Amino acid sequence: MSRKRIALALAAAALLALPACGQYDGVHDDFVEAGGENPGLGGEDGTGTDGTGGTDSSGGGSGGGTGGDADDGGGGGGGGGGGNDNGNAGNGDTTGVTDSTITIGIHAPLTGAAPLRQDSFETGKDLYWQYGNDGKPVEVFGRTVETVFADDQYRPSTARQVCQTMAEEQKAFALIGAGGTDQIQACAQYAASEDVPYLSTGVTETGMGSLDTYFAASMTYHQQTPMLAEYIKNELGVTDPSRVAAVVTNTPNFDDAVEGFTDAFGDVDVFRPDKNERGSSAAGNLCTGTVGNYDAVFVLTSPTFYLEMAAASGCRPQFVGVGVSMGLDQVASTGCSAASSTEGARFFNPTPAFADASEYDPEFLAAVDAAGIEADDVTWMMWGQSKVLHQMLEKAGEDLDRGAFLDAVAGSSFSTGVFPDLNYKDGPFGATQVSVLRNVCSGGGHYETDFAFVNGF
Amino acid sequence: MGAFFALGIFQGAVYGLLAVGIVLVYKAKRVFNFAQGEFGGVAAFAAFYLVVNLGLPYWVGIVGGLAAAVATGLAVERVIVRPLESASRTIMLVALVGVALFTIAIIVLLGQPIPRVMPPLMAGTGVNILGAGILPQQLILLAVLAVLAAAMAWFFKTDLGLAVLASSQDTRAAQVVGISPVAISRLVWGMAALLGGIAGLLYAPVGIFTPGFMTLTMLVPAFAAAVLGGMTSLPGAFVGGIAIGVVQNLGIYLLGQQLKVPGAAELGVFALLMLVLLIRPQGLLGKEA
Repeated sequence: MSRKRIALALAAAALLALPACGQYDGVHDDFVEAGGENPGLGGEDGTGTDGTGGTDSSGGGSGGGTGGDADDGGGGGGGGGGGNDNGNAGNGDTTGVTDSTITIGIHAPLTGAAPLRQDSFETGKDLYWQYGNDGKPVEVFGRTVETVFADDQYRPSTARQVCQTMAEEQKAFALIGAGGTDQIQACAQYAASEDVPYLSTGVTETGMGSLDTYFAASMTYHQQTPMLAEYIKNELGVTDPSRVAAVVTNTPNFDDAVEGFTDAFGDVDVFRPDKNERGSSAAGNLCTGTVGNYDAVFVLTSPTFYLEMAAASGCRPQFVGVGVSMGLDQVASTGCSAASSTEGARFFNPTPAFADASEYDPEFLAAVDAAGIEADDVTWMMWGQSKVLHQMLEKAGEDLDRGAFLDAVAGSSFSTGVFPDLNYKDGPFGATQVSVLRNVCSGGGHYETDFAFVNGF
Repeated sequence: MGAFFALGIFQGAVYGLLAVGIVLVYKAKRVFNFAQGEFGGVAAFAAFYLVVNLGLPYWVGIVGGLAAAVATGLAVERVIVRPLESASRTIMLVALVGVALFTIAIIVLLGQPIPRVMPPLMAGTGVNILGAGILPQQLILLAVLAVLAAAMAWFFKTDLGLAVLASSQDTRAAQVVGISPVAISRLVWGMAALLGGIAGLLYAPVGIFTPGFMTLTMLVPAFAAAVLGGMTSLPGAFVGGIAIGVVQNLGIYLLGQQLKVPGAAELGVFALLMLVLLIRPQGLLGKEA
């Protein structure tokens, strides 16, 4: 009898412990919240191991690493580095660069809680580099670009691991993060600890501002949310804060987004569901029966949570948001197939909608034709990100090394017509524009461009 | 708060439906069936393929989905369960976890890990229940759960049901009186898969489904529901499921939103489970062994 009681209690405890393990998948959040870097990711205390300069002491140094802020600790001290032909301070680290090729590593979630289509990545990762030059391979000072790819499984620990593998074993010169805030943060921190250039779409600013090797290719959440508040007021005509809600996943990485939004809009209702909560439960906040409690609902969650919440809502609120994955056509079509529950939703996005790609970059469709592939918005997004990287590589000059690349990008401007215009003179968050996508349910569901490359409303 | 209470009841109906299948297997075979959720996953994806991809009538999707689930159940019984019949329960448990993971991997390989929406059995706008907009599909789900729990409870009073119980208590003695353990094993796993399939088919249209959606999000609360209800009680699984759903959602509202406690849903369920097990170790409707 007592044995049975103990067994039942143990079984119950185990059952409850299992989801708790999942909940704390991104355990690094805690110390990021505290303002520190992940000790397990290198760069421990800001004293730095070598900064961005340093392996080559033969030339003039590029100066010390960026200082960091009071919470993050100082950046690493710079060592000496030789200047290259473009006048950029090199450091002699030519990992991933040969006379004929440059290797780039890309990570994205193909499995896990917010998966992206695997075939889209397989077709998209090389499209620009193989067909971006009038159907022929793009060359950067006589070198072609090769890509290696890894699935980060939507887990920060896996992201860090695959980034290390790509940088150290597969000899990637630079790394690109395609999506997932926590994963981008984890990989960016690893990259900074090893002086590997890292480029991603803009996500959180938490723990990222002091990273010497990081560059955001679109506006961060913290930058976008005040603009979103303006958009809701001036374009959607909702000015009463009591008619606006924010549903934002309860992770420290989204605190800056909430802060930016509430500072700009005022006293809106903020709901912070845990990572493992179901979207259907959050629906209880949005409606009373079939009547909406809010005129506009700002969503910053996983796409699955958003879709579940929309599908389970008895009413049809106006959803708005920021980010990258929410603007994928897969999200639009899935929401539309759930009784058009996301029709009319608006999301800020780094690029204009895939449906309008030909209007913004005709070369994209020409490359797609040349490659003979079926493109989608993931392909479009990767095309834009590759284009940004191409300009950065050009800027770094012919004598390419990591130090020269970082030196060239910092303080420079880039314009691709696919991603927002970028200017890194004030730090790694160099974008000032967004595009606004609208969920249209006709024809199976997709996004269309309402605004392209705007910096205010 | 009323809306969260109502949402909890309908969320709990899914847990209950899965828990009924878990209890069925436990009652008959004394095995914790961690593959139960994937019977629902197989049914949902098969039905989606038939209805959405091939454009076949909805009833074909339902029949096809349930057939796929039952076929999976029978395959698991033949390939995994029967060869491990005499192995320890721990080995059996691990094997069934493996079955669940293997099934998810197969679904991912065949269908990409992208979210999907199954059309509802009955379309329509939400009905206002305590402030929550409850979809017709959710009402159907609750009704089916009640009917199935009652039907299963009745089943164990029939000769066939008694044969299942006899076989679980003493296989050799049951065999002596003419009960085939192989036939009973097939029957139990087929029925469990059918119940899981029904749960998957009814739940998939309520929200969004992805590979592993039943196992990753529903199975743990369903096990908690089964334990809460008594592990051997089918009506208990029904009651346990509803209770877990309600406590989860009230936890989110009262602890999470009002008091800003992280992990509120799990905390509420944990507290309920501990309380019930301390006061009534055999579960709400379970009988002491």
